[in-house]
Amino acid sequence: MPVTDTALRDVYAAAVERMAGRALDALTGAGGAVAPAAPASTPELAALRVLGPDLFAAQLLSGAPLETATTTALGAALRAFPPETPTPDGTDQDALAVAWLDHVSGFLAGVAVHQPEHVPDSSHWQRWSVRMARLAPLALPGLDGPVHRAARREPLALARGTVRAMLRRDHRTALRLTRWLAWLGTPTPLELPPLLDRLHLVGDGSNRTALDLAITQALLTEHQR
Amino acid sequence: MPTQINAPARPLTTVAERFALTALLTEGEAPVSAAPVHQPEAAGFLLLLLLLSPKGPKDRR
Repeated sequence: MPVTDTALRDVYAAAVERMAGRALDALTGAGGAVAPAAPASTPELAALRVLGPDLFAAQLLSGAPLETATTTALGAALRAFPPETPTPDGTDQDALAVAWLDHVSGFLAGVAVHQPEHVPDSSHWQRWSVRMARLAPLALPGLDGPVHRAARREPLALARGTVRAMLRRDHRTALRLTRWLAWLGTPTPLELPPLLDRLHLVGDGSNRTALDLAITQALLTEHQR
Repeated sequence: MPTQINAPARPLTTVAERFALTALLTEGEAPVSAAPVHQPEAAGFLLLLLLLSPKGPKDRR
């Protein structure tokens, strides 16, 4: 069984925080390019892989063309950390979620990454909602595919997952599921603006959470127009 | 249609680095929940506390 080097993971997590801050600056119009000046360090490459589609949130939400420097950097990250192919029967749900993130990242970066044959199993709303929370970077305008169709089919499961996460005080999972509900753009079983207000108050203050909050708010505003 | 870019045959990163990345990508729910949980076995304890609690103050009238 693989054992994760926690010190290394913390270094990568710090890099993800910095990169999320740059993506947030790009989204709020306060910064320049999301990708660092080349060549990127290994933690920066890992951060690019983790954030994936979120790197392009500013462009996807505004309909602008994707930033070339960031697509190039994400392509380099996908080569440095090659995507792993999930099991053909889709039994490893963790690997399947990562494979979908990688596939969409590859699509945006112009790198061919194998499209998984399955979507996360939605037969059990509790487990499915946790997987969808992990796939929240896919909840952006302009992106569509089997995972998005599954989200459209199961708004009640997403809402249940959000409420469960709120009750567990797992605000990060709750925010990511709220982002999916906001992405749907249709009337949902939950009233989203007060929920988002609450998540603003109880957020952990990290750049990644701030980025998710900003994207969710932008999705809500876009659909309210 | 995505552009095909040939990836190198060997990844540029070590196994430990890839495991660290996977750990971040597969981050799950918060492991500890501070949510109040229903505990049926606590009912007896609450009843005992209720019986042992002092009476409320009486009105002097």
